[in-house]
Amino acid sequence: MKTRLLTLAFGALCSLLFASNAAAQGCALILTPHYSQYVNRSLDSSNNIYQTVELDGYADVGSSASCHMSTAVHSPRIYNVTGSQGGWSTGPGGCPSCYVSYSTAVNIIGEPGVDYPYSTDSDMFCTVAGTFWSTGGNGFIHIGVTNFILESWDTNNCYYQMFCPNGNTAASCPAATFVDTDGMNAIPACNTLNYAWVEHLVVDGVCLPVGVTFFGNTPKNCQ
Amino acid sequence: MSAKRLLLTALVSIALLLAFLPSRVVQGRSAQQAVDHVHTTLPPNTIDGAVHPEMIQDKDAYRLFLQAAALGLHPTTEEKNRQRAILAPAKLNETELASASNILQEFKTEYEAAIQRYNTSAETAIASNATPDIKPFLLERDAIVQSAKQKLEGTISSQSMARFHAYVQGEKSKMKIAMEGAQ
Repeated sequence: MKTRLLTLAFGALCSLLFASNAAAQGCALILTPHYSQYVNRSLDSSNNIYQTVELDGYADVGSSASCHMSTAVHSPRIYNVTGSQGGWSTGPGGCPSCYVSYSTAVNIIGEPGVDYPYSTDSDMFCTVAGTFWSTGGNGFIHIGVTNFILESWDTNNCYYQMFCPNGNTAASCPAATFVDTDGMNAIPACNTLNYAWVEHLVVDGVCLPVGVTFFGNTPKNCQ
Repeated sequence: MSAKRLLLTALVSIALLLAFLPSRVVQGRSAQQAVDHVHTTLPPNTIDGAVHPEMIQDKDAYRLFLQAAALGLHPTTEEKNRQRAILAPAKLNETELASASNILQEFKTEYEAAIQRYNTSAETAIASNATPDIKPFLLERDAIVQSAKQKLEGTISSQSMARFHAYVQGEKSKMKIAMEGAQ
């Protein structure tokens, strides 16, 4: 038993070293990636949740003479999913040193308080080396709602306090107060509407700082 | 030493060896069978804005943000709505929004044209076994970004620009930026 275990361990180690050494005698590529990824998520007043994934950059390429890099093609690939929408997209291929700027966007109509899974991946694929750069992440996104009740107003502004009909602890993005700046100059003036509610995107439990504001005379449950 | 301990030592050695193999060095075609959908940790030479937003330069953040917000020449209604949603945190008025949209479109056109010019020259260089020089393009790229930022500053109000700038700063947390010049 002892001998078998030792043989197994050394066998694994030796095969790994041998594989690396043998390959080094053929085509050897050194790809130094300089790629960046940006994921933007935003919300509009119709509860559309937009997710944009962007891949931008280039690679420094060094190779041995046997690599024939003039035949290699590098392509960006993006996996962009929110809820049940989206999937893989592949951008135009180019030379190994070519600069890439590729993005995809997906949107869903979200129901406040409902968690939607999201997934984002950005890859660079080389026809010689395979996938040589990759980054991404996944998690959950939802629309949080915070409702406020009108407390007072002055010449320009209306002042509100948080008021959730279903209990203030229900709010994903609680805030004690809300000010509608210049709301008295809007049509209708803010003091004619008893409630304001703010919708925020909540990504993995973190509220995005700027929300979409609504006004009305019927309170909304917080989410 | 027990057999279990020997086995554990050997497996730890293999794990360490795998961990320190340089990921960007790909030998021959051995990496061609890459996994199709990989969620990796941070690639090498990369700044994770979620951890170190202060390390991301404004020129890089603006480049990625402007490109994400910009539309092509003939945008669909859905694309226009997406742009409005992306720019909403800056709270631009309708006039400012129209101006910003035009500036973004010009930026996209210039940026993509510069990329196309560089890529054509890179392909020519590779075909003749020369190494493409990307440095002039990177300077041009950053100048295009700076020019778009200056156009925005000259077009929208200082309050709106302050909100726009603050928003871009916040978006750094959603960026993973390559360190240029790093090997």
